[in-house]
Amino acid sequence: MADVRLAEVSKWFGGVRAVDALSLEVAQGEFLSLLGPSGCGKTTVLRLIAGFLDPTAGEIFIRGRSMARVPPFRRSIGMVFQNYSLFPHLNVYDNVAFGLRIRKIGHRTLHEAVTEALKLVRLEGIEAVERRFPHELSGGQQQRVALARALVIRPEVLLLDEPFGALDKKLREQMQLELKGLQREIGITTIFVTHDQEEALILSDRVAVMRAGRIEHLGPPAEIYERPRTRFAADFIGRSNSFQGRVVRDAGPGALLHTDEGLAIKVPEELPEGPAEVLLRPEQIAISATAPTSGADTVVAGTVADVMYLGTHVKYDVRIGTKLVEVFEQNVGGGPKGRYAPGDRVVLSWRSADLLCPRE
Amino acid sequence: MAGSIAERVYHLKRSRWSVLAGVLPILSVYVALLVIPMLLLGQFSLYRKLTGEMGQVVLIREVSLANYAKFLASPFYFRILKDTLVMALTVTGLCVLLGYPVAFSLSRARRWKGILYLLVLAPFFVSVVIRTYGWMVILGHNGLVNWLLLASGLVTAPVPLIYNYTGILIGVTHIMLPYMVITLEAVLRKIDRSLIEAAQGLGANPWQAFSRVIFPLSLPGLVAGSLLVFALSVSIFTTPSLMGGGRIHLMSTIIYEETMGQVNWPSGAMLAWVLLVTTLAVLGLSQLAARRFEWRR
Amino acid sequence: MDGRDGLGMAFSRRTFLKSAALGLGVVAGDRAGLARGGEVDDTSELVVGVWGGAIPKILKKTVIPDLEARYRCKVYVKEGTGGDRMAILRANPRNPAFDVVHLADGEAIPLIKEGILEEPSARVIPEFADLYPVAQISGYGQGLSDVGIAYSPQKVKERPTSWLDLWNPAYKGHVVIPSMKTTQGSSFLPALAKVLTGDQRNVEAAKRKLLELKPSILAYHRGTSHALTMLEQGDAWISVTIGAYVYQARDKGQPVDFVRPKEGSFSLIWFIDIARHTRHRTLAREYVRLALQAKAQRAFAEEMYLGPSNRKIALSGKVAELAVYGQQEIDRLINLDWMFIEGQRPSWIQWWNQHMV
Repeated sequence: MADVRLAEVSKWFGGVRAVDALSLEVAQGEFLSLLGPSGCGKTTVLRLIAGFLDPTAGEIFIRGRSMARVPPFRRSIGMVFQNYSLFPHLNVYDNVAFGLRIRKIGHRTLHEAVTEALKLVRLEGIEAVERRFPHELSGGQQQRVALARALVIRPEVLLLDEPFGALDKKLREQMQLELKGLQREIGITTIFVTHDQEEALILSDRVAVMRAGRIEHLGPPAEIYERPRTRFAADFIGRSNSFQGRVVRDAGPGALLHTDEGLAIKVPEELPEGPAEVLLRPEQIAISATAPTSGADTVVAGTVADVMYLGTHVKYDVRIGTKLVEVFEQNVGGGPKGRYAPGDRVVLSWRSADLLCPRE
Repeated sequence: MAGSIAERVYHLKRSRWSVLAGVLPILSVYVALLVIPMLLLGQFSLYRKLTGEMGQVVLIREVSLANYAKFLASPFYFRILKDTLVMALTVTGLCVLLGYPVAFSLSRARRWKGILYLLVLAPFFVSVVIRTYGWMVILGHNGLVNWLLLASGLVTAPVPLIYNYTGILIGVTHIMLPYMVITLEAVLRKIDRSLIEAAQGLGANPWQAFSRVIFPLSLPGLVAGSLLVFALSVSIFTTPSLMGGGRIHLMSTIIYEETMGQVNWPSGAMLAWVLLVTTLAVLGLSQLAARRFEWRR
Repeated sequence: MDGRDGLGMAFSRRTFLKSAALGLGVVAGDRAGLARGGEVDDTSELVVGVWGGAIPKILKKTVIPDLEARYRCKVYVKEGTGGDRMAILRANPRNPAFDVVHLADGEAIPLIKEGILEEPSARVIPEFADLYPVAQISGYGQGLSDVGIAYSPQKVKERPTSWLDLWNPAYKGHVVIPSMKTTQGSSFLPALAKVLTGDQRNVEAAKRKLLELKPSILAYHRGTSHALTMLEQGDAWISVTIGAYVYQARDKGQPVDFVRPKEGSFSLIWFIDIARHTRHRTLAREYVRLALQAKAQRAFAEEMYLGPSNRKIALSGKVAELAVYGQQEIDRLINLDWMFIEGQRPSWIQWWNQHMV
C-alpha cells in the first residue's frame, strides 16, 4: 500500500494552475524526487502534502488516511526547508527538541531521542554543539540540525525542499551520500524536491519529472535518462542532439528520417511515417578519424568545428552539412588535449537503437 | 620606512579619525542642543528662587541642594513622579496589548499594506491639539462613546472619560501606538514565514508556533518599542495637559508650571533632572533585563 | 537692589556674563551698555505680544494699520499666553523679545518691580490721565471686563443668581472653574473670600469652600475659550469666566448665557505694558496711545464687549448695557488688590497643586 497518495490533486493560484490534476503514489520506504525547472509546481506539491496549502481539487492520503482538513501540525511529517528554517533563538539542542517538547515527551526520553538524532546526522562529535546557536554553525551543520529536527519526531514521511541548494558542490555531494545512507538506514518514505537532475538521479528510487503542474515522466532514474517518455523530460535531463524531419519507410528494412538539414538517418522501425524528431545523447556517438566502429549502424562524416576540454570528457562540436552535432568522448588516457582539432575531418557513428524517440 | 610610517598614520587616521569625523556633526548638535542645556539646567537646579512681596522674582545664585532636599521631603512631588511612571508604564502596557495584534497583521498583510500603514501613521498627520479636540468630542459627556454605552444600556449615566486619568491614558496611548506598531512591525516582518511552517511541521499548533517561535523572536522589537514608548510617555506634555483638564499633574506639567507659572526655574530644573535620572534608570534596568533576550542572526 | 535685571537681579557681573554666555541669562556687555548710554530708538518695526483670538483681530483692524501707516513701519504680532510672554521677557530683559505686551490684571506688577516693564506714566502717554483708576494699576488699562458665571441654559434650568449656586449638588461633575494658574483663577480665590467673609484677604475661608467644590469639578479651564468649548460640548454645565467673551459666543449662536452674581462679579482688566529696554520706544508709546484712543476703544467695546478704559469714551445701547461701562458699574464690581494677589500667587498655586489637582 502506498504511503503517500495524491489523487487528481489540483492547486490553483488565482487563475494559474500550479498543480494540475496530479496523481502520484509513493511506496513505503521509497525515495522519490520531484524534479523540474522552477515554476513547475514541485514545491507546491510538497507544500500540499505538508498541509501548508490546501488542494483546490483532489485528495491527499498519508498511510491511507485522507488529509483533507487535517492541519499541518496534525500530519506526521518531517520537513526540511531550503533555508533550513532553524529557530534562531534556540540552540541546536532546543531546535532538535522542539517537536518533542510540543509532544510533551518526558525529559529523559527527550534527551535520549535528541542525542540519538544528533548522532544519526553525525553531529555528536563536535565540541558543545548542542549549545551552539544556528548562526554559529556552518551551512552543512545547519543542514544536519534541520534533518535531525525533522527526524527526531519519527515522522511517517520526510519532505525535503531543495535542502542542498545553498551548499557548495563538494559539501552537497557529501550530504547527498549521507542522506541516501540515512534514508536507507531508517527506511523512511521520502519526497525530495530538486531542480538538480544529477542529484535526483543519484538519490532517488524513482524520479517524477514535472512540468507545468503535471508529471511528464515518472520512473526509475535509468529509465528517465535512457527512455524519457517526453521530449521535455529528455531535454531537461542530460544533453541531447535533436534531429527533426520526416520518417520515410523505403522498400528495404527499417525506416529513414530525412532531416531538415538534408541528412538521412536510420531510425527504429516502430516510428510511424510522417514528421518526427529523434534525440541522441552526445556520449552515445563515437568519433573516429576514418573507420567506423563496430556495432554502429549509422555512420556520417563531418568536420570538427570546436573542441572543449571538460576533464572527465572532451566535447566536440562536429559540423555535418549545416548541422552541428555535439559529441562527448570519454577522457581515457593521459594523452594530449583531444585527438582532433578544429578543421579535422572525422567520422561519427552510433547505433540507431540508442536514439531516443519520446512520444511527444 | 617613511612610507610605512605614513601608511600607519593613514590607517590610524582611517580607524579613529574617520569615525570621529562621521559622528562629529550629529555629536555637536547633540552636545549643543541637549547636553549643554541639560548641564545648564543642572546648574540652575542648584540655585534658589525667592518671591518678593509683590511677586517679584529673585534668583539666589548660591549652590545648594535645597531643591533636591525639597523634592525628597515632599510627598506631593513623589506622588507626581509615581503617577508619571505609572502612567508611562500603563501606556507602554496598553501599547503592547493594542499594538502587537496590529503590528502582527501589518507584518503579514500584502495587498492593503500601504493603506494599513497609513492608518497606523494617521495620528502623526494631525496636530496634537486638533487630535485632542477630536477625543473631546468622542469621549465627552455627550460624546460618541458615552452615547453608545448609554444606548446599549451598559451604563445608566455618562461615564467620565475625559479630564481625568482615563482621558490621559487614552490620549497618550493613541499617540504612542504608532511608535510601538512601527518598531514591532519592523521586527515581525523580518521573521521568516517558513519558521512558522517549520514549527507547524514539527507539530506546533498556531498558538504554540506563535508563543514558542514568533513571540520570542519579536522580543527585541517589543523591548525596543516599549523603551521608546516609555521614554516618550514619561515626558509627554501637550496631551496630558489638554486631556487631564488641569486636574492631573505629571512631571512634565509640573515642570512647565514651576518654570513658567511660578517662574521658579531652579525648582523646574531640579524636577527636569529628577525626571531625566529616573527615566535613565528605568531604561538602564530594562536594557539589562533585555540583554537576556538578545540573540544574533 | 533696584531690581533692574529681573531674574538676574542678584547677579554679580561675573555670573551675569556667564549666564549670558550660557544662553539663559541676559545679553551682556557692550550691547546693553550701548543701550544704557545712547538709547536706540528705531521706528522701523515693533513686536507686540498678545493672546490669540478676538483681541489681535481687532488690533489688526485699528491700532496696527494706523501705526504702520503713520510710521511706515512693520508691526509683528506674536500670539501666546501671558505666562509665556512674562517668561520670555524675564529670560532676556535687556534685549526684550517684545516691545509691547498685553497682560491681564496684576500680571505686570512683578515685572514692573523687576524693572522689565515700564512704570505707566501720563508724562509719556497723555491718555493715561483719562483712564479710570482701575485701569492705571499695572500698566495702561486698555479694556474692562468682569468675571461671573457662565452657564448652559439647556442644562441649567434655573438661572443662577449667586456665586454659591456653583455648589448646587445638581451640577456635580459638570462645574468648570478657572485654574489657579490663570489670572481668572488667582482672582477667583480672593473674590470668593470677599463674597464669603467680606475680606478679600481671608483666603483661608475661600480655600475651604473650594475644597467643598472639588467633587463637583469636571475640569479646570485655562481660559475663557477653553471653558466655552467644554460648555458647548455639553460636558460643562456651569463655569466661572469672562462675561465679554460669553456674550460674543452667545452672539454667534452658542447656547450659553452669563450672569453677574448678586454679590458682584469681579473685575478683569486688560493692560498694555511697554518693555523697559525696548529699542522701539516711539512706536511702542504710539501703539499704546492709539489703543487708548476712541477708535480702538470703540471697536473693542462694539466687537468684544470690552468696556472702555478711557473715561472720555461714551457708549450707548446694548453694548453700554453688557460691557463694564462707567465708574458706577466699576464700583459695583468686586475690585481686587492685585498687589496682594501677585505676592500670594506662588503659594496659592502650591496649595492648588497639592489640594485641588
